[in-house]
Amino acid sequence: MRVLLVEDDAKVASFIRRGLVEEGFSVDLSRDGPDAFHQIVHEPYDVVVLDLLIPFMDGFEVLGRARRQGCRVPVLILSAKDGVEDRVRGLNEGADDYLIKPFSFAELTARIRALLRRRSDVEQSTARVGDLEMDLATRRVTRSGRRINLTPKEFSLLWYLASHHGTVVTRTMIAEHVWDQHFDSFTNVIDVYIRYLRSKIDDPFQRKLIHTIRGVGYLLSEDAP
Amino acid sequence: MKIAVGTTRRISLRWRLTLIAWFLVLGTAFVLIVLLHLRTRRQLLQQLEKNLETRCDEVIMVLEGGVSTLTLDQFLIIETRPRQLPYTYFYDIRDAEGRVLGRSRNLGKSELPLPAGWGPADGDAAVRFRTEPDPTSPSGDWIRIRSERVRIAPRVRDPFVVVIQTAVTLGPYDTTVRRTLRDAVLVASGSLSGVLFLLWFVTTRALRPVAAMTREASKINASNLRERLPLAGRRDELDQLAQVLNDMLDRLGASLRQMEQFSSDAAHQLRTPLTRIRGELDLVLRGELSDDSRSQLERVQEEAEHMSRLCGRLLLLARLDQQSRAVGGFDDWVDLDELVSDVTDRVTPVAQDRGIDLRRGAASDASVRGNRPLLVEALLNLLDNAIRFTPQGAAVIVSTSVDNGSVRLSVEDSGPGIPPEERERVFQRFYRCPRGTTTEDGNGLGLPIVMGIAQAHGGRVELAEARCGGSLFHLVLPRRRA
Repeated sequence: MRVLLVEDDAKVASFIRRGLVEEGFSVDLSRDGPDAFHQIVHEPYDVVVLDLLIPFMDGFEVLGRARRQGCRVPVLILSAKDGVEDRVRGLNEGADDYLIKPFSFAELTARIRALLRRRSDVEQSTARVGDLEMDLATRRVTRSGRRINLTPKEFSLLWYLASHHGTVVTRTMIAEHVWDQHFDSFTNVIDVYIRYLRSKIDDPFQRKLIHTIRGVGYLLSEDAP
Repeated sequence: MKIAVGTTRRISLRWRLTLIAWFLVLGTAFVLIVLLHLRTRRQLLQQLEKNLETRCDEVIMVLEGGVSTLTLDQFLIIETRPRQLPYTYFYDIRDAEGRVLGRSRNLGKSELPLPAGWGPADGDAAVRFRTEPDPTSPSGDWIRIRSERVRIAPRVRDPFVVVIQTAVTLGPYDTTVRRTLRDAVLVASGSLSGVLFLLWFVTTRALRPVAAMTREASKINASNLRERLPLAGRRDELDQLAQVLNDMLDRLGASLRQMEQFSSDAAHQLRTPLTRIRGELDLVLRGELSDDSRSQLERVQEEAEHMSRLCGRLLLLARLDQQSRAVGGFDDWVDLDELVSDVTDRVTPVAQDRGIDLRRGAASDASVRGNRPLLVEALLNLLDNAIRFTPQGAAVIVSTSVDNGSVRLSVEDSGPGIPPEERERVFQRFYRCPRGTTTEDGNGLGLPIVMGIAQAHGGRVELAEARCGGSLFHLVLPRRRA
C-alpha cells in the first residue's frame, strides 16, 4: 500500500512516516504544494494524507486541481485548521476524510484503513459478519437465525461497525458518523452503547463478535484480533 | 453584564442644580422683602410724624392768634371731630407749670404722658417722639406721640412756654405695613414656584445631552466595543467628555482584541507541538516496553489528550469572542425540543450509568434561528455540569419554554446548588467551584463556553436556585421570526 504524506513540518512528517512504515505502508513524503500535486497526479497512490498549510500552494488548491484532473485517490486532510468552514471546504473540494491535529496515531491509521476499505466496497444494503446478518432496508438483525431487537441508535452503531468489519473504528469516527458530531463531553456514551450492543449481540452467544482494541476503539470481527 | 447607571443616588444632579439655584433666588427674595418692609415702615412713620408736626404748627398759630380768631378749644373740636379718616389724632397742650391749656375731647379723661424728665423748670425748646400704649383704648393699640416745648409769642400777650403734644393712633399704620408685607410674600411665593418649575425645565434641557450620552454609553459593553459615543460638534465640555470616553474605548477595544487574538494564537500554536508529542508517544507505546514505563507513558498520553481538548475549548472560546466565522453560521432553524430529545437520548445511558434520572420536563413548541452544533455543545456542557454535581439516585430535568420574545432551555439539577455570591463567578474562565466534588474531567471552561454560545446567539445564561435546592440554568435565546 503506497501512501503519499504531504506535510511541511519535518518533525511531524518524521513520526507519521515511521508509524505508517511500521504499519506496513510504504510512504512517500512531499513538502510543498506543487510537488504534492505533481506526485498525486503522476504516481498511483492508494491514499494521500494532506496537510493544508503547505508552501506555494495550499492543500485545498492541490486537492481541487487533482480532482479536476480526474484523480480519484482517497484523500485524508490532516490539519490544525478545525473551523467548520475549513472542514466543509475540504470535503467540498473532494476530500474523503478530515482529521484535526493533534490526533492520536491509532486514529490516523484506523481512518486510512477505513478509506482503503471504502474504495473496495460497493454501497451495500445488507451486511454479514459470521452468523450475524443485518438488513438496512428492513432494519432487521438476526444472529444464528434468531431475531434481535435494537433501538435505532444501536442499529446505526452496529451498522457502522459491520460496514467496517475487520477494521478498527475509533470512538471519534463513531461519534462523527453515528452521532454526526464530535463532542468533548460524554465521550463514554459510545462505551455505554457498545455495552448495550454486547448484551444483545454477544452475551447470549458463545462466540464474541465485538472486540475492544485498547486505546484505539472497537472492532467487529469473527476472529479475535 | 449590565452597567448600572447612577440612578440610585438620593438626589439627582438635575434636582441638585435646580434646588441650589432656587435657594439662591429664595434668599434674594427674602432679603428684598425684608428691605421693602423696613423701608415702607420708615416712610409711613416719617409721613405720620410730618403730619404730627403740621398739626403742632397749627396749634402754635392758634396760640399766637396770628391767623384766625379761633380759640384753642374751638380749634381742637374742629380738628378732632369724627371723620372718615383711618387715623385718629390726639392733642394735649400744657403750659410750663403743667396746667392744661387744651386737650382734645377724644382723649376723654386720659392724658398724653409727658416725656421722661420734662419738668416745669425746663424752658428750652425741644422736640421728642415716643411710642406709647393708647390711653383711650382698652385693646392695647399703640400711639405715636410728638412732644414739643416751644415758646409762644402772641402779639397781645407776653411770651410763654407751652408743651404741645400731638399724637396719632398706629393701628391703621400697622395694618398698612402688614398688608404690604403680605402682598409681597404672596407675589414672591407665586413667582418662586414659577421659578422652581422654570429652573427644573432649564436644567433638564441643559442636562439632556448628558442623559443622551448616558443612554448611548450604557449600550456599549464588552460584546459591542465598536460602538462610539456621538459628538454633537459643539466643541463644548460634553463633546470633550465624549471624545475622552471614545479614546478610552478605542484603547480598551484594542487591548481586548489583542487579548482575544493572543488566546486564539496561543491555542493554535500549541497544536503543532502537541501533535508531535502525541505522535511520538503513540509510536513509543507500540514498541516493547516494561509495564512500568508503559503505564507512565500512558499517563503522559492521557495528559496530552487532555491538553488537546483544552486547546480545542480555548480556541472555541476565542472564536466565540471574536465572532469568528470558523464556528459556522447562525441561520439554521433549530427545533429546540428535537434538539433536547437528540441530546438527552445521547446522554441518557451515561446518566443511567451513574444512577441519575435524566428526565424531560415541560416541552414547548420552541424553535430558534441559530447554530445547531453550538447549541448541542451548550446543552451537552450544561448536562455535563448537572450530572457531575447530582448525587446518585437524584434527577436532572431538561425543559423548554417560550415567553414573549425569548425561548428558554432549562437544566435543573439536584446537586448542592450554588450560593448567590458565587453565581457570577461560575461563568469565569477556569473558575472551579470550591465544593471539591469536581472530577479531573472538568476544566473550568464548560460554563464559560455555554455563556459564549448564548451570547453569540444574542442571548444569555441565567442561574437560579431550583426548587429542590440544586442549580437551575436557563439558556435564554432571543426568538427571531423567519
